[in-house]
Amino acid sequence: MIEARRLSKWYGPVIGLNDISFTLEPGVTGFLGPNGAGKSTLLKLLTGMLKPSKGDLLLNGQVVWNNYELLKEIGYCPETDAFWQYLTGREFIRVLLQLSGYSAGDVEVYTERALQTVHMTEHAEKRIGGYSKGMRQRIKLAQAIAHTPQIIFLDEPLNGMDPIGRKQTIELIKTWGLEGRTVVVSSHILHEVEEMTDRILLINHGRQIAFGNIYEIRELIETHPLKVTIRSKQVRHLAAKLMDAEDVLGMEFDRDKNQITVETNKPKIFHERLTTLVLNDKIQIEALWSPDEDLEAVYDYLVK
Amino acid sequence: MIKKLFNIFFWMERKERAFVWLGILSAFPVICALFAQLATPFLEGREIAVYHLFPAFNFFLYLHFLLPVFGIFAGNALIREFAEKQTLVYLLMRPNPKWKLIVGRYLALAACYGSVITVSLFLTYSILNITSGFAWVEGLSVFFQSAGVLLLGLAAYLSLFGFLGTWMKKPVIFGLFFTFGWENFVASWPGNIKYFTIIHYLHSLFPTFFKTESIGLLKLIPQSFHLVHDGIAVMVLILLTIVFTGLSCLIFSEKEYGSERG
Repeated sequence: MIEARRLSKWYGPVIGLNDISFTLEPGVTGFLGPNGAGKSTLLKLLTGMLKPSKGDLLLNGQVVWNNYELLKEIGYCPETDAFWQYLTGREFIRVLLQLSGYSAGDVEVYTERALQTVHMTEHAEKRIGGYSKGMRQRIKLAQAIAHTPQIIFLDEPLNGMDPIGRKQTIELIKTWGLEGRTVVVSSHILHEVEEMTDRILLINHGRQIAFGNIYEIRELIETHPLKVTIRSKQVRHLAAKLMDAEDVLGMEFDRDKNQITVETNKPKIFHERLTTLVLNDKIQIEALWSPDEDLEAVYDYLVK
Repeated sequence: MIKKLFNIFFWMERKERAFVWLGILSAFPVICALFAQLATPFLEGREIAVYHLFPAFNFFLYLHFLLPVFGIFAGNALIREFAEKQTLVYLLMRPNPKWKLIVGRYLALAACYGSVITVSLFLTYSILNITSGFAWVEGLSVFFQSAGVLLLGLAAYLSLFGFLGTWMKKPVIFGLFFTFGWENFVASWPGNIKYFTIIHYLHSLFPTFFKTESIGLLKLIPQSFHLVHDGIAVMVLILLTIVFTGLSCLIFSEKEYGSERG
């Protein structure tokens, strides 16, 4: 169980988080908020990388800051795209398990299991420097779960993943939640979090806006159009296929950058459609993201 | 656990780009020695023999160039490089006391770069003495003494710059100023200010056999190094190493690296 009581964090005169309180039971919880809302600061406090300026933070009844024993129970997938580029995927997982003090036998077993879980066994001998963004996300996820932690913190884990990767990762996260682990996923994309859980902590400008099962947000998601930008070499083909879809409200085409920005009022259906398209028409997607501005509008609406 | 950490960090460091670059840099005196040896025919009849050059190589290229460079960059690699490249998070999430990470990493870096500088010194020594016959064996004690001084110096510089790297951003700039500016600047000052340098204690331990043969280039080397007793110099260097490594452990345990972004 994770318990935060009146938690605040200041960076000098700047407030990172202000007066946050919640109790997280096992299962999946989403930390939702626009970029710069304080989600990463909260995760850093939860993983003991930052010390609370005020308030209490307890994981399984223990203080987190400088409690290295507690780290055995925690897995953390950071947002930053940083690695020792010269290591292969397998070496990366292995080194981190060795640094955690596991025996040689356990290291081998845990490494292979983690690689298999994130579907990276095939690419495990390649150097991370040569990985795509999606593969790097997967290997980062693998290191977080390699030691079977009971508490898992994932900071924007779906960033840069292709639709298939997203679907697989969402399924994995849901499975870990159902297994009774405490999983916290931070994201600035509403429908992504909604696909994993309906338990949400909504943060904006370092403040807790709402916590719990927020049906209002769901309703808002359904009525508020969401923009999704897709970059692909087969962007013309993709645009033609999406043109008549009923969940697509509009489309902007950028031929120079090989990308389209789609506006949808049913993100869940749209993403399912996109995944099917990718699988059936073998469309290679280089990047997929939601521009932040329209999300800001949703948060602004909620804050009001 | 420290042994395990040492092994992992030692293995990792050898794959780092900085290690390769410093390895290449350490070949510089070796290449200079080769050129000096090739120039032997031109020295015929002069008062200087090629093997006389070793102390000068040792002093200028190792003690006053390679050693500070290795110290600065190895010290930077202790923690600061991880913070700058944002890979520190992976270390901070390991269930180990933080001081053990520092000690394991410090020892790995010292072993890694210590072996590079020793191998380079040995090659330089051997090349310069290749035609000297028995003098190669005779001078081995000087080689070992020189290597010992360099290793002690590396230990001290590494701990100082490692400490600065755990504490502040951009320690390399400070390191370059300290070693190539401050230490050289105050060396000739009267009074006690030179005690606030590491090089002063290394000078005190520097092999002295060449003093009787101070000819040519060697005349540039100051002749009055023995300002501190050998035993005191060794103790001071060891003490500095322990103190700064201890401070690194303390700061690394208490500092919030999560709030930094390089």
